[in-house]
Amino acid sequence: MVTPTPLPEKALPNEVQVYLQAVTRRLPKRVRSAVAAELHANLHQRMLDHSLGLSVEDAWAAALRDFGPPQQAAQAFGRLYRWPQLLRTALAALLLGTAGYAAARTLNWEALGWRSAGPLQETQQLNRVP
Amino acid sequence: MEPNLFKGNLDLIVLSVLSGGERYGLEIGKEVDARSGGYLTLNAGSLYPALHRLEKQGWVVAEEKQPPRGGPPVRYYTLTPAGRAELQRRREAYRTFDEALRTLW
Repeated sequence: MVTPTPLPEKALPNEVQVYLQAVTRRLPKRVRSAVAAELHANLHQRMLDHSLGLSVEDAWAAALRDFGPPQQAAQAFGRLYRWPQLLRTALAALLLGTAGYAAARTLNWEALGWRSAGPLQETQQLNRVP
Repeated sequence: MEPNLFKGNLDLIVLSVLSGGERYGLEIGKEVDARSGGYLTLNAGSLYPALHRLEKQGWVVAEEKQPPRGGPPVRYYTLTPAGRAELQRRREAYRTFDEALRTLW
């Protein structure tokens, strides 16, 4: 869906790089550069709008003001890309844990030379009590 | 502008603009601003995530192209047939809601 495009970061003013990093820092790697590239390209077009009456530096600053605070974009992109990934990771961990627990319950630990701490052993101990 | 109304209708706003043909993010924002007389304004925090969400839903597709004025390639968004159907559905839902609400005034 989103194809990453490398950014020509050296050509960008520092404030623009800071903005792009603030928006994309917490995004998964697979979308980070694509989101940054899209925002950069649109910021560039906005900068061109302002460059008619301003210096290039001021035009970039005006473009950044128009784009608003990076936190809002970071949160919105995070809800779109980060939370689904976190949920998938949590679900995978839960499934692995459940499968591991189920496998451990089915193993014959005593045949392997381990003491079983399961309910069977407790029952046997109770039966020995006169 | 009422923020909740805006939030609830953001997809409808973006899909409506894209029904006029392919646009990139900044063009969409400018058109919304111009056509609504400045009443509706889309900043980056709402517009670009909305475009990515619409793309995930399959309602728009994006293609990177060189913009006419030069600069890095921008992502042009186009409505898909599913997006056009969704736009129609949302327009009707909005109209029905609006008409029902007006009967109470």
